[in-house]
Amino acid sequence: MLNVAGLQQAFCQECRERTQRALMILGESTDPAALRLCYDQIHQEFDTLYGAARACNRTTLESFFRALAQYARFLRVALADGSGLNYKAHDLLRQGVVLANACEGREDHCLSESAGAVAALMSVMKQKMETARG
Amino acid sequence: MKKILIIDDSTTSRLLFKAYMPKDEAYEVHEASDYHSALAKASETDPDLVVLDYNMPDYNGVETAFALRAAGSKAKLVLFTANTQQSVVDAAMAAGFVDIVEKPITAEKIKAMLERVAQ
Repeated sequence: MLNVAGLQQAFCQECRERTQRALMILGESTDPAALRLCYDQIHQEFDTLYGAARACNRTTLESFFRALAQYARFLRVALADGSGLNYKAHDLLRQGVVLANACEGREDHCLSESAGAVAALMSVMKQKMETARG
Repeated sequence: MKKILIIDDSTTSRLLFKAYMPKDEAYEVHEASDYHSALAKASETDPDLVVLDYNMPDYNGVETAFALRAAGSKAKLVLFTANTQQSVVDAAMAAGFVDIVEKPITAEKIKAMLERVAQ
């Protein structure tokens, strides 16, 4: 028998740990080599959270975490080929990680208070990736 | 009693896997969250079946499987992954995985996987 409350608790705990780790990684990374590793690690954290949110039927978080994972991968590629990476592009990821971290402690629909900011951020990230693809 | 080792860096995924395991069967489920703990747990428990996530930090599921084989494990290998790109499937098959299951994990998928692996 699936213990739904226990599952949600475990999911929230995993969210908390991974988003805090992502925030810490972002804060520590400045030079290109560190940034490449930083984007790799943030991609990994949010790709895993995306899978966990999907398994728990947390659809809003699923979309947001997926977008963050994709955007981190996009930044890693942009860093490698020298295209389209600037402070603003990097800062979008930081804003996303901060928003993801802000959902800590909320029981349900933990992005509801920041839904507008999340939607706007996802839209800008998507636009940036589409523009880069040409 | 059949011993199963689930290797996944996501606590939520491991919890779901254990929750969805059939309760009418005699399985002993062990878990590990990364490459190093997986090798230690496999050595300690000698599992019959190892279920691995693909996307894990440091070493992915296929790399971890190679290490398990190199350490002498004869367990059947199953890949649980959200990444079903052909390159991942090919790498898994080359590494000797007997089954690949697409995430998200459900009770039905686990039951079907156990039936396929038992054949």
